[in-house]
Amino acid sequence: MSKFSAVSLLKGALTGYKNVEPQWPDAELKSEYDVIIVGAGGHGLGAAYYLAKEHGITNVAVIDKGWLGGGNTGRNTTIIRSNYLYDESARLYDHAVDLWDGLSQDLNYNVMFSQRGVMMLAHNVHDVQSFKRHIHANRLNGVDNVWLTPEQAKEKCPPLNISPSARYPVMGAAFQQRGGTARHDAVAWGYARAAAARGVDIIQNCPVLSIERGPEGAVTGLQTARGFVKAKKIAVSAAGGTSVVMDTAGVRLPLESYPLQALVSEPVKPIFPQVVMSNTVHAYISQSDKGELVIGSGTDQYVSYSQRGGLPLIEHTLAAICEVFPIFRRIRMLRKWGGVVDVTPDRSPILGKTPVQGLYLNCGWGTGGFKATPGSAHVFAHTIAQDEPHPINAPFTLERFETGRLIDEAAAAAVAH
Amino acid sequence: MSNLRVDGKGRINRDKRIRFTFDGVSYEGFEGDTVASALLANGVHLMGRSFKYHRPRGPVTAGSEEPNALIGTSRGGAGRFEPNTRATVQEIYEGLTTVSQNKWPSLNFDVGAINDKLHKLFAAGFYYKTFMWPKSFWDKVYEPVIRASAGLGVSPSEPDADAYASRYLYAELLIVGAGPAGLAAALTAARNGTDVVLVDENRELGGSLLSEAPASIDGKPTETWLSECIEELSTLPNVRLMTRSVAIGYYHENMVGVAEKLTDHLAYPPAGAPRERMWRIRAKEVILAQGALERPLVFDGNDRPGVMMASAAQTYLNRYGVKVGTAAVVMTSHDSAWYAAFDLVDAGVTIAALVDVRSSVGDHLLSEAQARGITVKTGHTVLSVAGKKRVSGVQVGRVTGDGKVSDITSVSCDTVLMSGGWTPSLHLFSHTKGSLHWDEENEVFLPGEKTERCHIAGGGRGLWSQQAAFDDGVLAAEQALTSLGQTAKTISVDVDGDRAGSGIVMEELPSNDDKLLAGHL
Amino acid sequence: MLLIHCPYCKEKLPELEFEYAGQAHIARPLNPAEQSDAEWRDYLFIRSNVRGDHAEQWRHTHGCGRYFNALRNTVSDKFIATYEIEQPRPTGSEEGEKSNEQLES
Repeated sequence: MSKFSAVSLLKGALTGYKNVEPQWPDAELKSEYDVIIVGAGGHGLGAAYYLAKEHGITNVAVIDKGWLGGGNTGRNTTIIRSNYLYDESARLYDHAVDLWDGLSQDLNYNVMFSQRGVMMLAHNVHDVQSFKRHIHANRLNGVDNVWLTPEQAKEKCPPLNISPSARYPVMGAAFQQRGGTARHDAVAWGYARAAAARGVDIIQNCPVLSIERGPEGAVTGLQTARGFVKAKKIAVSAAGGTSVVMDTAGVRLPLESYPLQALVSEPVKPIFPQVVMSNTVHAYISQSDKGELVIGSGTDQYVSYSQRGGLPLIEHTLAAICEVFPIFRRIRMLRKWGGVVDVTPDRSPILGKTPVQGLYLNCGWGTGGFKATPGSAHVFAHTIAQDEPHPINAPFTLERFETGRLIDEAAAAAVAH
Repeated sequence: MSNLRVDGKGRINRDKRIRFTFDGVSYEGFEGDTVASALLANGVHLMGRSFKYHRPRGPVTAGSEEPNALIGTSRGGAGRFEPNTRATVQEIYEGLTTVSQNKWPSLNFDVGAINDKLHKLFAAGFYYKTFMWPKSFWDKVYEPVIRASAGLGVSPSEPDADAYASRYLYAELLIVGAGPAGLAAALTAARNGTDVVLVDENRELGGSLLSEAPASIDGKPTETWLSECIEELSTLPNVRLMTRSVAIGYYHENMVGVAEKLTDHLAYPPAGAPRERMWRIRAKEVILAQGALERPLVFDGNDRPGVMMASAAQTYLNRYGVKVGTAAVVMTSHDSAWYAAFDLVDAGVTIAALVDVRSSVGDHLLSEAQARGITVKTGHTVLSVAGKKRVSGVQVGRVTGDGKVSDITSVSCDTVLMSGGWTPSLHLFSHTKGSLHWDEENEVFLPGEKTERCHIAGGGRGLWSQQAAFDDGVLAAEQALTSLGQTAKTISVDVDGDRAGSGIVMEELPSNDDKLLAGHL
Repeated sequence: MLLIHCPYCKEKLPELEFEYAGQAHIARPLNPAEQSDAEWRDYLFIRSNVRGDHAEQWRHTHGCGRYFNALRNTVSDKFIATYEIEQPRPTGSEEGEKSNEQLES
């Protein structure tokens, strides 16, 4: 696969793109792989890429029941930040931010990582105390996060309404400059292209029917819609569908899958410089490079795989956005979608080995898995290759729900869930 | 400034003249006009610039499906500017101020149009492949430039000055769309005493009957039949008619969100009146009678101002009394554009050529065309369009056996009317996760398995004639009433002079160019 | 917004009146102190998260205030039944809870 460069682009332009090769080949499913990854989202494709690049394991397939990047990777609000409270989370999410910075060059694919800064609004005394605690904890962990007065917040984000008489008065904000957004589709495509270039097979539209185990209990392969595929190592990275896939291996999980909705407005010229989140009013907003306001909502209250969300939830979100940013009330929404997000009891992911030999698990990212994509994929690849967790993901075991060593990040999550 | 109004045509109120501005120039229209119809009546097609290449754009449709003619609107005072509004939907009122978008310094002379010259560099997805070197340039140079050139209209900069309202509503039967199918369903259910809500996005009920009136309905002129129908529905206590009301979403258990526009057509809104009202309508049964959307055809220059859907030209003529041009070339793969051409000729528009990519069409069409003196070119295609900010002509050629084009000639015109057939409008149905199935024969997606208690009627089921739509509306109402446990007394609506038709689907019109490059050479 | 039939009020009402309260029929161990860590984990955290018919609890918060059970399909979100809190799952077995619907559906 040829590299993208200014020269290759110019050549394409001059020759009318006549000899354009596909970004990645549509691979035939082989009968055996060293590693099969279930789920071709950012996390799964990323793990395949790092397996090939850092561990020399290239006999790898990434299998998805739909199309590549068609799940939560392709339908999220693209926010990236690492201002989580606990040491374990700070290390994991900050590892991701470190890898985001330079990912475009690493993949030779512009993922448009934009460190425009993430602002989390405090609307009441509890928010103020909680965010200040986060800021102190973050800084002890080397994660940048500063406190802004309402005036400083307004200076950074002019559309913000900081009137003390507002329905949700802004009492200040926590601000992480290294946070921002990235182009979600490009992340999936960039990893897919870079992984395929190193020999990884990407198999789309191939539902996995079951994970097969041998008499000793170890995994032997996958039953798929296109037949049985042998593999000694299977890594599940299937987000909302994780419980269903893992159930076939006899592993039951502390997960529940909820609908999560988001919306996008019609595109307008640049007006909104940062990412702004408000836990209290359950809304977050940024403006994409294309000009659309990207708005996220909270989860519906019941478990569901329907990918349909309720009207009251998005009405509530939009009402909150219009209160905090009254200039946006006349802007029309262009589209809305619902994803399926897998939520753990402590709102932290499960990232590591399972009781089944050869079966690895990356799930439970809830409403915020996109931000962790490179970091999570990187340490997941290490775990699969070495059959041992990387020090960064070592605390994020499935066993923690038995030992009680939970990593309770509910307060750092963006929205109620 | 030309006047392209046609006497005796249209449903505008000619007694009420209205002045509004577009890019600072004052124009006159009539009550009932949209910004697009009023500008077209004044000979203005150029209404915007495209998103990326800043290509000149004019309206291609006459309705809410409009992708091109997007404008900013405002009325007196701060906090009432709105970007990206479809000129084809926004009604004019005294004092309305509108502006074009995505241009600098002006719509006519736009520096950004340089992107069109460089289109080969700025190919689809080019930004993923570049702007990576040197790394530090991304934050400081590339991204700020990309962000500044993206977006279409400008955001409002003042807090919204208006108020909004919301309400719940419950009904036995909700009907979305008040064309032939929706009206027939409403009449059937209403006469039965069923509690009916009928919503339509337009200012008037009638749908396609407003754009293409058949000779008569139930022995009466269409206009008479329609006003009697609306009169009957509006006097029944069990019926609620809602116009200017857009069904925005279809949620669980037959809840449909409807946004009703209340004041955006009024010069002097009542003090304190809400601008819009959000309805959450919960219905036991829903009928989706949203019709179909005309498909564009793919050929070089099909986005030039002056190129539009054949049905849009028909709507501008019959609903607004506006000729979209004086000399038109029709390019079609479907019978329906022939009828549009006939209407236009009858209103005094010259059809410079009627080009149909199909090698043979029905004799009745040919004889009607002949009677009107139209030059017909079957088995031909339009290759390209001349003119920059307005069409000035087309290249027409004969399609040869190997899919290439020969005998190419130039035809002068100021308008190109295209039709690639029709696509059922199933957007709301898809919100329910109802499945679609592909109809091989007619090459359309049709509604499949349903997840909610809903029925699709008319164009949404791939039925292309008004008689079929009326019949299907009655049928859908009967099914809904049966499901409600009511017995429906069936009704019949008889259309005289119905214009049924068929066509073929073309992915891209034949040309002698490399497919990948077609559209750019 | 779902419509939910409250088995106590005997009325079908909008979801806004109700609060979801998690998977149903998870009995709290009578003597937690005798539970192993794994058993306690199963009770506290492990959930079926089934793609198919799901037995769950709801509370009619803005009505009678009582908890009740429901059987709902998590793919279509349709309620199959709602029933009083002490009643068993209507299909009679726990099997439905374990067997997921076809993965490709």
